[in-house]
Amino acid sequence: MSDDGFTVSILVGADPERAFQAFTEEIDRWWLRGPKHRFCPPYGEGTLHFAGDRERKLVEEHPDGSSFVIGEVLRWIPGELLHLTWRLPNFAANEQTEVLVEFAAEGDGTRVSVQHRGWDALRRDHPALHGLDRRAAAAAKGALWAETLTALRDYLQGG
Amino acid sequence: MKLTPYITVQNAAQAIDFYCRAFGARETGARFTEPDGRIGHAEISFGDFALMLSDEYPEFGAVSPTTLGGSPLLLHLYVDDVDETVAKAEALGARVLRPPADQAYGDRAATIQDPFGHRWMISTTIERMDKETLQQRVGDAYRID
Repeated sequence: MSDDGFTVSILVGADPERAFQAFTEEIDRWWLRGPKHRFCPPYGEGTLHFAGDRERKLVEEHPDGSSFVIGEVLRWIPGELLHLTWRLPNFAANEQTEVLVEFAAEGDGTRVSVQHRGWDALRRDHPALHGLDRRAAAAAKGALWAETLTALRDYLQGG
Repeated sequence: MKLTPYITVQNAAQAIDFYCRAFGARETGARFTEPDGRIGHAEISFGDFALMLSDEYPEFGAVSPTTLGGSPLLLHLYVDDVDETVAKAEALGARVLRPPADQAYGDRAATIQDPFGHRWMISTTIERMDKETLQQRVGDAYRID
């Protein structure tokens, strides 16, 4: 998997174990809603959660009973890292990217870092790239992760 | 409207560490790091006020005082104790251009150059005064409107 994107990170006011727990077990409570952040319509009414014990998956489940598998967990180390495949609804069966989330103690909190890799393996006219060149696409995906991580930080501050 | 300074430095990671340790800033925004290690964007806050910064991107015209050989920008920071802040900054590598001194307008102020070439005026308000008192203090040197 190529290393073609920004690493986006943020400091959160919680220890790495708590930050990991919030990122995984409580993901639906803080992950932003709406078509920019959720995966399938009706955006915001579906719920995100990690399903399964041994073979964990990140799934969005919808009120009509349908579901969409965003990714399969490759590594799950509480308080340290979460590594999973990452697909969008407009990906073909053989297309995927990868997300690596790392949790590292820093000061009296935790730096949560996200690397979202593999965008440059997609064909240039892939709809997920929105017609942007490689750098602009990476920056746009990074900006989206910045919003997501800011939501996690705010959730941990409030909780 | 809202103005947020956005500065360019060589080694943004070290600069963030310096501003947090020397000035008590806090990293508040998301940090974007490129595969080559350059920080493309970061945000730190001094109380309610943000400062954005990045590493150098000469390909986009973003170069630092280190590369330029100086900076026309002066950042002004109010702190509780200018002497303590300047001493801390100096211990962490800043150059004191003008040591802390009481000013006629009621501040105790100093000017330093941080290790990344940016100049800071550091002040603590030690006395509040009305316009008339200030005019008497500065005499004919300035007209206070």
